Amino acid sequence: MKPDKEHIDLIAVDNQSKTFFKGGEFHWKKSEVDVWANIEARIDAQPKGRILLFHFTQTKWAVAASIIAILTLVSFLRFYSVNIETIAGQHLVAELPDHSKVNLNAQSSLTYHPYWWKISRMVKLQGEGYFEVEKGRKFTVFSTKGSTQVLGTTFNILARNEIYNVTCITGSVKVKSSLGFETILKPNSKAEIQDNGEIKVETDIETFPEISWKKNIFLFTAAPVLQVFSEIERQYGVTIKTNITHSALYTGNFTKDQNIEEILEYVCPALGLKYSRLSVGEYLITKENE
Amino acid sequence: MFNSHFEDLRRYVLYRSGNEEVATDIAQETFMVIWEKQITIDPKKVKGLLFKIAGDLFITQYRKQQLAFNFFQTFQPNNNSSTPEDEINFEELKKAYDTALQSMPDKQRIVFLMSRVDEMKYKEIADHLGLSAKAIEKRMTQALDHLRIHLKDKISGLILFFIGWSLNRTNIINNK
Repeated sequence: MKPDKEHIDLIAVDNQSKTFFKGGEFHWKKSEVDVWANIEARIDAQPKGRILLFHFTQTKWAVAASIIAILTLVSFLRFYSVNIETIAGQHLVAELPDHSKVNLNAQSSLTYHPYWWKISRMVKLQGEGYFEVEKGRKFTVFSTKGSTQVLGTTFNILARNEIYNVTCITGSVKVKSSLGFETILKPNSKAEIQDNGEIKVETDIETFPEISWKKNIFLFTAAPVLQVFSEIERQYGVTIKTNITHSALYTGNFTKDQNIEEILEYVCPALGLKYSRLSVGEYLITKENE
Repeated sequence: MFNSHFEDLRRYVLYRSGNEEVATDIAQETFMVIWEKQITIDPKKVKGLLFKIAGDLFITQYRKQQLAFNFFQTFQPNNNSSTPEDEINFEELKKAYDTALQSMPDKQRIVFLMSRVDEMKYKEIADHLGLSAKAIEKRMTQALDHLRIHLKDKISGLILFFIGWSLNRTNIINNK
């Protein structure tokens, strides 16, 4: 029978092939050692250090380009800033993106990031400003000596040279000195960062003198005379030269409606001083008896 | 890794191509690929990976070329022929195997030779090729059937020769 024949043949082939191939030997022209030497030579010929090859496909390029574009855009939005500055003799009301308002006194500057405003309300202030902050997220004012944080209130900050004063009109504000002290101010109180970084708080004060500058009224209560003169310089955009050094205190007020000479006329005699005009916008103040 | 796998790999490509130069070349290239790409390999999977790379290299570089099939140039079967007649029979048989192996599909030939020459078990072959033992068994059956058909003329002689040859071998073993 044929199937049987096939089967017998298969078994024969199976057995025979086992015997035939068993114990055979390979004779390679190139030995394993030769090949290894060859590989080593090729490895040595390659530059030392690992080479990273990036096979960028079109998609990968597109992804890389989009990431760079997004980063550029985000950093532009993040760091683009607007700077508002007032010169001597100038007052200005600045409106921030959320309609918060800042009254800037003379010789002050305010910086903020308009496109980042939705994410963080942050402004930098040098000089003096009266803030009316809309309710919303945390609003922070940074100055050299300290920072002030609020949610939505009105308050005044004076950050000029060594002075940092915050007066709270409504709501509440948190004042931090750059040395790490902090305090929370309630309405009608005033914080002053002192030279050692500590914060001095006065409560139940009359706030009007602090923000009267907004209405062009300048009130001085026992203020050092040199401070009074520099305020006059600032508000009228004039230069005042003086050789006086004593620290007399002045109490009084003036408004910006009055002209500069009227004011000097008014301030000087009270302190035993006199003034003379050197040129346009330049005045010299000396002791009356000199 | 090279020392323990190079010869296995080279034999595999030889079984596949029947060409010694190609086998040596592909096996060497495979190790270059591993080195260049700094591939870190799970020791359990190293065989499978090497065979896979070698197979891929072979396909990309040689598939379209007509390769000279010279398996018996590299592989010398054990020849115990003592008489000139045996010698002639042996040479004829070798020629018949050569033709039959040449016409055998690659897949079957690889399995057949791994089983016969390397005396590997189906499970081992399966691990090397990333296939199931069942598939190996199937290919082996196909390979034997292929041989049966192509060695037809030789089969009757084969059986005789096989018997004579086995006896010969037994004698040699006994003599030792």
